[in-house]
Amino acid sequence: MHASNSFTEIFLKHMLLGLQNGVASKNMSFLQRKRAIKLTADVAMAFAKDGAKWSHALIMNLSKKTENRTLLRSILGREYERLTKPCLSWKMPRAKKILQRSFKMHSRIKKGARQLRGVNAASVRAGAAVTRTKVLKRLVPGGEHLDDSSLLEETLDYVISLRAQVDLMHLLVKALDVPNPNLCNKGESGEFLF
Amino acid sequence: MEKERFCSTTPPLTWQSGNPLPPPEPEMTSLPGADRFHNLNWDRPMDRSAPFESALSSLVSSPSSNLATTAASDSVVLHELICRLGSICNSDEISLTSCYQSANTSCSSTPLNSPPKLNLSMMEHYQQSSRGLPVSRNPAMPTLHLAPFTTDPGFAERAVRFSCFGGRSYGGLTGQFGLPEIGKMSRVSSSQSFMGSGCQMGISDNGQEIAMQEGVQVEMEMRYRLGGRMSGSSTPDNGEFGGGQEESSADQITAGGETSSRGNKENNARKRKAAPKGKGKEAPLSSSGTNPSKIAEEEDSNAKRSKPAETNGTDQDVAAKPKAEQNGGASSGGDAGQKLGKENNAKPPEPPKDYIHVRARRGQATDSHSLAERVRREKISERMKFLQDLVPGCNKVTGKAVMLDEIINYVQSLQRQVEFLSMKLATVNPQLDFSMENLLPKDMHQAHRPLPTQVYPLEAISTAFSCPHQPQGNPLQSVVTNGLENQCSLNPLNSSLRRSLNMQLPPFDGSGDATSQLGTFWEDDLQSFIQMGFGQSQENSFSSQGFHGK
Repeated sequence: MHASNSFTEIFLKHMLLGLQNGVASKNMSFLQRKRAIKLTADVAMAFAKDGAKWSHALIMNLSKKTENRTLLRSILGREYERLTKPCLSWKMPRAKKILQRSFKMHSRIKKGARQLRGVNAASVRAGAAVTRTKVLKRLVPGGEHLDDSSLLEETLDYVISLRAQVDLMHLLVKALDVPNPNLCNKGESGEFLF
Repeated sequence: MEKERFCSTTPPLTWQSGNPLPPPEPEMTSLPGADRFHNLNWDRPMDRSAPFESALSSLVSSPSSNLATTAASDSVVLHELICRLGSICNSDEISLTSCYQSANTSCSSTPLNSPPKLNLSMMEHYQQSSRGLPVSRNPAMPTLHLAPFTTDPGFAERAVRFSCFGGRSYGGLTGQFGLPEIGKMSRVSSSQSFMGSGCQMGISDNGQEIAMQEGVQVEMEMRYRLGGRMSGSSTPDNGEFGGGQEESSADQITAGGETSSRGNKENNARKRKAAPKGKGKEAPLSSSGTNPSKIAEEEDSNAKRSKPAETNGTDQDVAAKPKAEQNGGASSGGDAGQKLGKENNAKPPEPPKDYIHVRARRGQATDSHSLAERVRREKISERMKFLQDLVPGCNKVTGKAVMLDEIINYVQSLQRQVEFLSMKLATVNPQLDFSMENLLPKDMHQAHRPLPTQVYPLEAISTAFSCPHQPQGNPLQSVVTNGLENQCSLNPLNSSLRRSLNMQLPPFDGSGDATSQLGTFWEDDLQSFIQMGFGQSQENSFSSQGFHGK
């Protein structure tokens, strides 16, 4: 699956805008520069994909740090206020979270009792999937509050966007990098552009 | 192949402990027309596995599945039978496979992987065709063998979802023999969940395909008859006939029966149909004609059983309609957990409901929780399938946990790549000025710009290039501009950039120091990237290019 063309266009546009505002002609250390570039890339990616939950969550996570806010504002422009406002619709209310936590603890207690009878393959497999799901939830921005199926859907979207981001940054690197005849002889232009 | 393996393993991959599969209920409901029953049996003297019979009967007696009453009523019967057998397969695959294997004497021994393969291949075929992608697999894989149809409900669900025949009348399927096949095939497994007029035939078609591969002439006949039926023939007898045969063949396939069991299934299906139906349709159909009547009977019996109040008319069309209705009623009544599914009705399509009708498979608990779980599992497996396509190297991966592992690794590697590239960008040209003091190349004015929004990235890139390289920026800009405008994708941009880079722009002086200092560091990182096992040659190619570049 490929990211749509409009996605890449918006992404590129905002990335360059952010690079202009945040990076160019500023005296920054190398690490600062890198962080700014990464921030720009992430924000641009999230903004380009405005319909997904992970994009909203990503922008919100990034805006929590104060030093990012100016750059975010410059990139997002008018959308900044809308995107940084926490979306209550998809964040579970606290009561539900408490209920879930208690349910999980309860099931854990039950499982502990059950494990005395022995572990069968199915439960092991189920357990492995559960732990990995937790890891995935941590990886995908905004995934903590999602159930399994929507988590997978967000992961799908996120992977596509990440791929597009990597491709675009590669492109930028190649375009801005030291021109080298070695780079230009092969025609793998489309190779890493999935 | 990856899909088939993945899907074939999804059944054991239940994210929650699978519902306990009760043993097949030998509901041998009283079948009127027992004489026909016997006649049918004698037509095809083959072994009958008692469990299969009982399963079939229980299938028949179970609440009628959602039958899309299409123009061809027989298709409904077929579909229902297929669904039943599919449910049998799903629920009793273990018991059935054992009994099939025992009964499989005459048929060639078949590995237990072919039907899922076939289904999946056809599913892929269908999906690809429906998505407009070139069909990469041959749906009629000649080497397929019958095997227990370890249905992947999610797979079937996906097939149904992608099916464009959901709810369409049968007439619309004329001329599209391939697609309906696949679509119908998918219905087999998800029969209980979704009704699909097109899917019914597909299932039987698949079964017929497999049968053909097995070298059974009858199957081919049925298939062609089915195609003929699809093309519009709607005489009940013909339809029944074709449907019956299709259904029987499909039944075999769906039940994952081996070739020997096919005969059993046919017999059993016929028995099942003949007994309850008690219709006078078998008269015109002497030997193979029993099938349609059987189908009609089964249809009737199903209808009766699901809703005794329903009056099953002698006409199959009439029976199909009440069947569809009672399917809806039964599903809504029987299934507490209802979610909106693709319920295709033969009659004028009902307005889309806001909840899904989920049919409980035979042998599975029918309470709302298990149904909801099943739907949830199907959704999850469907999404895992997409992810499998996306993540490279996941074709051979089977199992949810391993798949999740791969996904996690891939996401982590992508994120690391982003960090690495941002680092690289940070050092590539610290002096690069992204200011808007750009000298727009003349070509930009000349070239067509379909959208004004595209100008901005072009300008930005052009400024980025133009600042350090005033003389050479213009050709680069023009190339970039043209590239971006022409196709609005990164591919031409990249190629144009490469071409422009070929114009031997002088190296960045400022960046040279930074790159040399961090060159070794990047090489290590690049190596780690490669070793991370992207498993893609392209990854290696551009990362190795990075080596060359430094």
